[in-house]
Amino acid sequence: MKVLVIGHRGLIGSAVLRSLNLKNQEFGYKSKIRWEQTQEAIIDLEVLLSSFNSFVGQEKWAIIWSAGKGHLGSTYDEMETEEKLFQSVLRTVATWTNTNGLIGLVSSAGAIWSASSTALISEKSPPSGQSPYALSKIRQEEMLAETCQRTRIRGLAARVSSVYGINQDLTKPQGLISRLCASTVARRSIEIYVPLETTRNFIFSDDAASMIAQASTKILEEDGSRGQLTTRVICSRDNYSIASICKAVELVVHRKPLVVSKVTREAERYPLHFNLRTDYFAEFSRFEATTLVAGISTVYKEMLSAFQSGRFANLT
Amino acid sequence: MTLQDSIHTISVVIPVYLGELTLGKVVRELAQLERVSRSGSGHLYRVAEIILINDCGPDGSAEIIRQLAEQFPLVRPVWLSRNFGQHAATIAGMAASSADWVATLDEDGQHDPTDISRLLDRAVGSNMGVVYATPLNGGSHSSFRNLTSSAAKRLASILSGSRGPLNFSSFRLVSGELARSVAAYAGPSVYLDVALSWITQDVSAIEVKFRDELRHRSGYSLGKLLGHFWKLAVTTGTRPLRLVSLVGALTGVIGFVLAAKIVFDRVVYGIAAQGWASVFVGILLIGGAVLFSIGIIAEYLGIVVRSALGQPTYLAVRDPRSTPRYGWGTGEMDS
Repeated sequence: MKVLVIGHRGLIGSAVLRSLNLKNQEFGYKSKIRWEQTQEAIIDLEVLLSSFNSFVGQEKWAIIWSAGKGHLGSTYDEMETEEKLFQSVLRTVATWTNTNGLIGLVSSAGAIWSASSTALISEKSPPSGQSPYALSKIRQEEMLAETCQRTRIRGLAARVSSVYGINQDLTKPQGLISRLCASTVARRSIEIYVPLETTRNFIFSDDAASMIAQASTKILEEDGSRGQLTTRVICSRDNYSIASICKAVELVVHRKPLVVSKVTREAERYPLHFNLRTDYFAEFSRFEATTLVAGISTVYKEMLSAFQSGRFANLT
Repeated sequence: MTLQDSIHTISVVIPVYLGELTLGKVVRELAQLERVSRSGSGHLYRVAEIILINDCGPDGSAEIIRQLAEQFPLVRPVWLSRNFGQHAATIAGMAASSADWVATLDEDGQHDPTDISRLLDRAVGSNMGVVYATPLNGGSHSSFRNLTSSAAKRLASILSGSRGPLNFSSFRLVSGELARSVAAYAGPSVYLDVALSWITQDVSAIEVKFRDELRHRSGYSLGKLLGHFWKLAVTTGTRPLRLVSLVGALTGVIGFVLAAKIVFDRVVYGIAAQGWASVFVGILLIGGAVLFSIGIIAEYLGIVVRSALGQPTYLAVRDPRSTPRYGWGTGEMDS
């Protein structure tokens, strides 16, 4: 299997690459994509895909799309650009003669089900998110499903819970664990805008990546999945409250994070309890190898080393 | 992938203090295990990385580590800013590990790398989280040191009240999940093996033959060993503090009882010496109250100590059935 990760510098993309890198000859990422300009980015993506196509030959392939600057608070315009780019990828790949491959689309489970009131959310739950990000991701999944059906390429919609790890882009309003660690390193206070009892599902980036890699490999092996879009929830076994995350950070760092709890009206837009689970737990549980404290410790050490080497200001 | 063809990956962690003469040989032996091998019980395993932690020893270890890192792609050096001691260095190595299992070895070559497969067999065979290798031949140290070492461990076992095997040794195989969790929370003055015992009871030990040390000078002086013991005694928990509070409470109670008796004697029989009764009652009451208060303070201190050492309330892990302990290694055959 040959793999192309689009967005390979990001939190999930880089981890997917690490987890696949061990067993695959890797496709070199020589060209840079000019994400800032839509038209240029589309051209760059075409170039990238055509060189990947010739690299693949007649082998099985997988393209994982984990790019995009979109986040829960993105506007319609920002998401429209991302949608266009993803569509251009689908259009290009649809013309390939080798259809024995898979396109994976990574999205945030928290956004897609943000308005769900059920106690437990799994693959079968209908999407409920109303934010521009959620609506756009659901549209992208529909586009992918349509392309799969037309071309017999396989599709994977990986809806990922709150991912944490190194390489987190802290310019986006996300990354609670990274921010907590950064605040303890710099001895700064951190403002949290949701109630501390809010529960979320946190998964370490490398574990999430191994699960995405596992799901991709498995789907590629099955002939029945050709032309289908398969949905998988990528999440950990346990859901944690924000308060218990703060406690875990304290256990690792041996110092209390200076949390300023500021609950705003805006926080009401987010569900208080968000309990995710996957129906494919038996398949995935093997890959949840990082305990919460071990994951937090990795993030904290990365922050500390950034602080020591003077890269900290760029990170936060 | 099936259970039979899954490969156990192993991170080898070697804290290096005095390794100038011996480290090269150890690493070369370990590098032989990079390709997939089969253990005695038929488990596939391979050494995925060798983490050398430079603990700033007085000899030329640092240069050797540099050379080895260049020579073997498997070797990953970790540089500590100063000498922190073997346990701190081992914890640093565990934190940097990434494989299914973490094996810790000394740099002096007395631990035979091929014994790692025997540790693995025990770990997978009995589903253990930690397996120690204890010396079959009493190690290569002097009998005085062996005696004091075993006495220290016995004392630690009494102090900690643990019933598990206290066959601690620096040659151990720990499940990656546990090793990295321990590395995450263990506080600065923690005895590593005690920290491991906080989160797992699946501890076992096997006897292996330790080789003669290649070097002649031990990195441990008597003073350092005593320091080591003290760390062990202090981190084994709050039993010593509990002892203080127990003594406090007991003497407090005895003091009150004796005081009551003296008062009774004074009133019923009368005591010849003027002032004796009042002075003694005073001393006993005040002494009892002081010791009792110290006992209460010791209880509070115990709570603080536990959290300062980093003992977690609990640790959530995967279902053990889907971990390497039950045979699931994450390594795969190179295709």
